[in-house]
Amino acid sequence: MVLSGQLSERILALSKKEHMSASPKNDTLRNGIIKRIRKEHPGMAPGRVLALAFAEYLDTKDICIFDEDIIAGHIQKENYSESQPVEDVTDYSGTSFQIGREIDKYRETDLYTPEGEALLTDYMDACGQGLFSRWGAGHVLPGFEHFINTGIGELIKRAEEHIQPDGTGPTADSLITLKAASRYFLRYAALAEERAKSAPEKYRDQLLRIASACRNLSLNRPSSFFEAVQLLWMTQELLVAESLTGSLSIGRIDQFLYPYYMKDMEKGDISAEAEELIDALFVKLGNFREGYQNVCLGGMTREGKSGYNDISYMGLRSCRLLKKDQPLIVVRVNSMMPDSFWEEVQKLIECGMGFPALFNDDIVIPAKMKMGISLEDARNYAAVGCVEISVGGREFSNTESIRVNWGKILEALLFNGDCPGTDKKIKLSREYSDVSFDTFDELYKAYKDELIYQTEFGIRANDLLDLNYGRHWPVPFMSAIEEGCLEKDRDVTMGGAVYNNSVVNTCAIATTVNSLIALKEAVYERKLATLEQVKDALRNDFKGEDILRQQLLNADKFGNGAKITKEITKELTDLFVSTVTAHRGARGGSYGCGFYTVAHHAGMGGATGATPDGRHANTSFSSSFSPTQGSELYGPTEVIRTVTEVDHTDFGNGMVLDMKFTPSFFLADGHRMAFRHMIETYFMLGGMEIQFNVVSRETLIAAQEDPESYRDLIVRVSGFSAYFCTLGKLLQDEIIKRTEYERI
Amino acid sequence: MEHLISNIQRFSVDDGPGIRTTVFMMGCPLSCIWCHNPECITGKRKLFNDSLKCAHCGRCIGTCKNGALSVKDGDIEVDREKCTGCLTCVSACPTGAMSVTGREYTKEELIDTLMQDEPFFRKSGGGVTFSGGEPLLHTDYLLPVIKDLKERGISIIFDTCGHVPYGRIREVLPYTDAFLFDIKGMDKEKHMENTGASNEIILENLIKLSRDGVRIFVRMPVIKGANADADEIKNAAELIASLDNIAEADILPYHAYGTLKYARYGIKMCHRELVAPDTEELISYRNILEEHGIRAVIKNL
Repeated sequence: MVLSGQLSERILALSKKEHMSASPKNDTLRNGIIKRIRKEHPGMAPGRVLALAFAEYLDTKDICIFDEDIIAGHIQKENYSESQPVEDVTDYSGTSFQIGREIDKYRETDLYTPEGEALLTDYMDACGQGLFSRWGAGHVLPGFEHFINTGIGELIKRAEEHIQPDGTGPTADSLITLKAASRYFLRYAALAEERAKSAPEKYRDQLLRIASACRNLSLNRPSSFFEAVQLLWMTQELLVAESLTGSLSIGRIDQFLYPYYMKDMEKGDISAEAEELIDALFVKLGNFREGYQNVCLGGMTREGKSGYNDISYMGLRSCRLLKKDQPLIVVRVNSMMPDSFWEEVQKLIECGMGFPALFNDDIVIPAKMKMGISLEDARNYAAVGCVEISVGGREFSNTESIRVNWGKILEALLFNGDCPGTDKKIKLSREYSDVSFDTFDELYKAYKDELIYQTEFGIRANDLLDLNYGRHWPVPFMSAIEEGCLEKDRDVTMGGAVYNNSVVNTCAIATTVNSLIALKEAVYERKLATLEQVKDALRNDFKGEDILRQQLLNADKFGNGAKITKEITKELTDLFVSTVTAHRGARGGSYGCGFYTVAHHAGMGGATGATPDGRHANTSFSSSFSPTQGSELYGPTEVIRTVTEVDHTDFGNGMVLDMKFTPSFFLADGHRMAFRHMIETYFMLGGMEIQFNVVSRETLIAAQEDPESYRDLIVRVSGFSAYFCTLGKLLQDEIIKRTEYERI
Repeated sequence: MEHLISNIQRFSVDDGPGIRTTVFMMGCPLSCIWCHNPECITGKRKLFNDSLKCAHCGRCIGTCKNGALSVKDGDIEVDREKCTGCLTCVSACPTGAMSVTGREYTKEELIDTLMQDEPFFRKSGGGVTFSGGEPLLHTDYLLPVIKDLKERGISIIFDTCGHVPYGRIREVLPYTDAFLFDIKGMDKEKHMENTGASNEIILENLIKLSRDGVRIFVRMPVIKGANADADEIKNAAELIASLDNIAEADILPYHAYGTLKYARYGIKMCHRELVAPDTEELISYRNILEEHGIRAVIKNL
């Protein structure tokens, strides 16, 4: 297909309407309604309170349509503190999760035991020290496909069939939200009709088309591609009206919109119109700017046939031309991918926005199957938020619920639980004050013991918090569009989905491996310093110990090919995976692992003192499953060989390998080809995911000094891309330090 | 002679087709004034003094028996006249700021290292390139290596200055998939001035090689202030056009990546100012080659 190289004037006009708030009234409306209903109905089940509040909010909030709108819908800023354990702010980009509130609520439940409370309090303290991170909800791929293919009317019917006789319970709550959603469509229909009366002539037809679509969608499945796109966006608006802490990802738009596109194409060529509709959808997602809305393109169908279609191409094109940091784009790669599609992928990579992240179907599909997902469903995977692989509308695995900081565990072990620079302590499996670690093996074994112990501790707390969560903060609308919840009369947070998995993520992998190797070489083999001397240097952040620090930096590093480094990486990874996957989660499903770090390598690094690999205190850790920034000696092929020593089908919640190339690398055709071959070899060797920053170091430094001039500079962080100037200095420095491959 | 390797560069994408691993052998019959691997000219181990890694502990100064080390402007300075290359300072240096370039690999070690990227070679049509220095000074060492690699199906390229007895080229021919063969100038005297040797043997060898059936990529470094000249390119084009088996002529504009090395290795740089010709000039050179029916590529444009 021929893609247009330009955006329409209408799209350009819509693209500028970023951050426009239709009404300040909406900012606080939602929280007020929830509080009032709770007060009026003491003892009412939380699911019912939230469903009624959702309905009243949709019935009374201000809505807006712009004259130029191609599809209707406008997401408003909202405050989520009454429906989720988050801070009381409208600026949800800065929202922080509050375990303290989860624990307060836990005390009120049937789950309560004093031991449980002690566990959660310890866990909250450990999170405070940066040993774990907790994000209790919101990282999901909701059932867009299911909703579009079923329609509101049919879901209402199913809810009515499965509702409890007394009219209570999750399905009854979902029914309330479905009916409210139906009315919400009618409100938009009426507004569009009214707007059409006063709008300039040229916009009138489209407004009337929106009105008619919204009337139809209030009851039925979409009757056209246009209506399918309209419903898709409106679903996101409804989901955000209910909850948003974390990521509401969209998934495989090319797969679930394609049948509607093909049906319309039978009546005539709608490809140009479809292109503008995808632009319009991406503008809406991009202007919302929150929620890590991930869109997945390409791959294969549930039946295993090629999944690269016209919409996949259109998605890449929209992203490249609109230059917004959302939606995040993931591309699935398999042997059926056409060369012409790869050309579009590479063009987008060379734009330097960090999109798309590339996933290898040959590895992801078996990885999901290891988590109990059927072959057909595994083929239908997409990414949540950053790079968490999940099955839309069928799997609820709350992909960011817990992350374990491997680097903090090493610090705690070395200092017998102390956190240098603070008066805080980490609880270890045993007392280490009497252990002198005379051999490396002794130290390494103790580290492995603590890694298991802390991971088990985190999982126990995570399970209890997950059991508790849905009792207070259910999501009746999200449950209504998730497959299986209405029939089971169970909220999606309580195990209502088809797959109810759990996950544990990691942080500081290369930093930890490098630290162990540095201790092995410097203390135990070359005896350049004693362990006590190294610990003193770490306590003082290497002040006056430049030589020792340099010696530690000179030790072998992850990604440089030494056998022992590869062995330790593999052993620790395998140990962690087997520890985690031995558990069943609180919602009844499997546990999977994630080896990516979002921005936690900066955050958790910021909360950890100096490490034996020579890293200074409170600076970033290595990112995701990538080498420590700037430590690679032999370039990308050796990094790939190191990283693929580990079995990536063990990473059921995703992984990330970052690489950075300069824009000039791509000027020669031979280089572009070599780049593609490098990626293909990585995938052939068993790599799951790879992503790129294509921005020169000079540009990044200039942007750091002069943010005003570089507002639109987008970089890949870990699982996601973001405007560089919006990142903290620590993260900016970390990205600048990543090794840059140019011509070698 | 010792068969020293200064560096093994993986993910090389400019030393022949595909993703390659390039082996830099030390020692060269030429000493081009623009050389970007000056540490490979003499064929001897070189002391590398990296001030960025230096912790200024002064241990190296104390261990040097020849008084070759001193502190200048806060950094360690090596008096290369006094330095005998005993390398005691390298063992004394705790941070790796003092290091030595040039190590010997056994055949097995070298092949093991080169095979690391085999999957990348296969996928991309790449392989191994021997460069330097002048790799053909080391045929006795390299022959068993390339025989072995050939048996494993690895593509072999030699990047040569051409200033070697033709017998050495003939020795490696059966195992070599292509040559990167330099023409650094057509004018005898200028060539002598720029590289320290006449170009007669080089051009003779090129003509002979073109009759031996192996693909040749002619490489033409062009440096303003040394050899960049339209007439020279024209003369080269006439020669190349008359030859068989020429896959491509590559124009390599001068780059300054090597200049830092001169300081770190304490090698005297050419007193003349060397710069890359501007884009327009490079394109005019390419046009000359293309007018002669030669496939021409400007590298790193």
